[in-house]
Amino acid sequence: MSIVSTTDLKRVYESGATEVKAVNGVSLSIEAGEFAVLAGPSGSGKTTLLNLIGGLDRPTNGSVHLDGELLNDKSDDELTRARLFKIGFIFQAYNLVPVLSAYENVQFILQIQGVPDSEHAGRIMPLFEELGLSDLAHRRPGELSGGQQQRVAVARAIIGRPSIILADEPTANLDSESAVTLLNLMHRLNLEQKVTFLFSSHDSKVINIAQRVISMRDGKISDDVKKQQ
Amino acid sequence: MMIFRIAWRNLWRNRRRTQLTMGAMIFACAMLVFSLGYYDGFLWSLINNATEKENGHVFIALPGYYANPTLEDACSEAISSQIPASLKPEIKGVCPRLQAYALLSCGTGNDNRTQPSQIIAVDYQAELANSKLANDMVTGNFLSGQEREILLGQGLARKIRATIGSEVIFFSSAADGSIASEILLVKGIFSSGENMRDSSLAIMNLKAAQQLLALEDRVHSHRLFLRNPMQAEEIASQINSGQKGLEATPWQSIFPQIADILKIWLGVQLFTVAIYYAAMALITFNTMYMAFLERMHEFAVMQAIGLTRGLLAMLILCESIVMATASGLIGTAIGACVNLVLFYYPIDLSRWMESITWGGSSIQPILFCVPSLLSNLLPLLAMILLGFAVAALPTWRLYRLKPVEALREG
Repeated sequence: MSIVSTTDLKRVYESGATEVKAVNGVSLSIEAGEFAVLAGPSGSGKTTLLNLIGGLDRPTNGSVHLDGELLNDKSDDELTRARLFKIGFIFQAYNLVPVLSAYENVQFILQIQGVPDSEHAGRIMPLFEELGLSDLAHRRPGELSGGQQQRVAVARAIIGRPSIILADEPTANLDSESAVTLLNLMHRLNLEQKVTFLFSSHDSKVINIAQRVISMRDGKISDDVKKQQ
Repeated sequence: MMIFRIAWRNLWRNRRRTQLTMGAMIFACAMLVFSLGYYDGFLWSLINNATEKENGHVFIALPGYYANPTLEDACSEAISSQIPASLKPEIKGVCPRLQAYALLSCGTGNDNRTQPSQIIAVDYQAELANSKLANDMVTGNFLSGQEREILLGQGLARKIRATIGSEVIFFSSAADGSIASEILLVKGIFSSGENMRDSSLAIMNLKAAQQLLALEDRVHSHRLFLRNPMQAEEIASQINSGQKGLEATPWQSIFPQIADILKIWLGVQLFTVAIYYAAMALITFNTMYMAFLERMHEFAVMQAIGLTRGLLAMLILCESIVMATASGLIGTAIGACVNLVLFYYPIDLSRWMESITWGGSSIQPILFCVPSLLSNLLPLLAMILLGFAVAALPTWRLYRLKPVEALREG
């Protein structure tokens, strides 16, 4: 079943008199349970494509469907609601709320989703256990290492049970060891809990572990390879 | 709840900036509460100085007496039965008075000094309980009910060279046409702060004056002292509607200039609040807006993970309102405490300043404040409104925020 599908997706930025085609006619489908990566050099359009799929940006042309719903027609607030319930984001710079503890950062999503308070601990603590964050639950982001912060970001992304996790260069700010740990963790979540991941990355470690590698160049898909498991 | 928690913690991310801004807001609020309390105190003093020594809050006499007083126009000393029972709880006290003119002499032979004087005769117990006459004594004591005692204004005493214990000859005509004369002893010398008044006024006991002036059991006027002086017009009107033989005049008719000030008072207070808070709004707005701009990236992330613009606006509003309300409460508490202290313990500034006379009243150099609900609530409510106002522009910017652009810039 297709979680995300794009058809002839284009995003053109105007910079003075010149037009920059960041994404130029991308048609793509991501199936449930995939562990895919958008690979390519800087400026190839990976992040722009991820932003279009995540409803953070609007296409100049073409369409994006998420769980069968067309995102193009949605208002800003409807897109925000769609992101809250259907998409989990993991950013390169972690982007946790600095004034909340690790636990509260994750709990925040449940609160705005309207999940009853009584269910929060029951959902967060097993996840923290799995991600090795149990002892760090009450620390604020400033008291955590990069790898730990990114694990909290992973927990925040998946706690709301979204259809897909979009991760933009999630290992770019991490040392090798932390990056491998994080990737293994996400891979395990993919295998065991069937969480769908779509990365943008030029990190070979991400590309190696991914099940599907979608290569991009100049805003277009240049290659799309599904590896045998 | 989480929004409130984030808002509260955000305030303390830049602790010094928040402390300085809140300090300025607290100071402004406290100063405003104090200023309004001081204005109220000033007005209160103006009314009381005008009413408590002279005519009271409501002046009751025979019709026409107030405009054209004559010795013969005296009414019964007993007034209680003529005041409607429903009004009695509003009345703090009643002071009956006689008023006459007399020649006062001191000394004998070539050393005799005589001055025409205004005499007011009072029930010393009623005055002690209700008016401020006794507060004006500079030497000697206030009346004690003895028959032949008299108090002289400082200027009058100087003119006739009388001191405490001096004998003064009282000479006047009585209501029945006979000559009224008596030797009185100076019990005390007073100064009201009004030179004209003090150079011609003498005060004596009501009973003695009634005998001298052949006005047994009669007085020229009754001064009502009310619990709330602002009710004077209403109470006077009720007395006038029920009584045909007496005329009640409220202090607002006697001192129209002071009454006029009252009419514009709320406007003056609102104007003062506006001036204080216009300056305060700029300081607070600067802090809030800087804090907002610094966190554009963070807001974009929150939008990305699913926080609607409405909730983000609530977050900004919460921060602003929490800061404004906390500052307002602390500032109001400080200002109210200062007002309360100055209400019970006014500071006498007469060493540095002199009293002035205006609108028939005297303005004393006293730092005196009246704590009132309005002077406390107005700055607090205005501060909370300020919280809404300074959050307006950041909220508007937030509604126009494109998360993808803010994320890219961050």
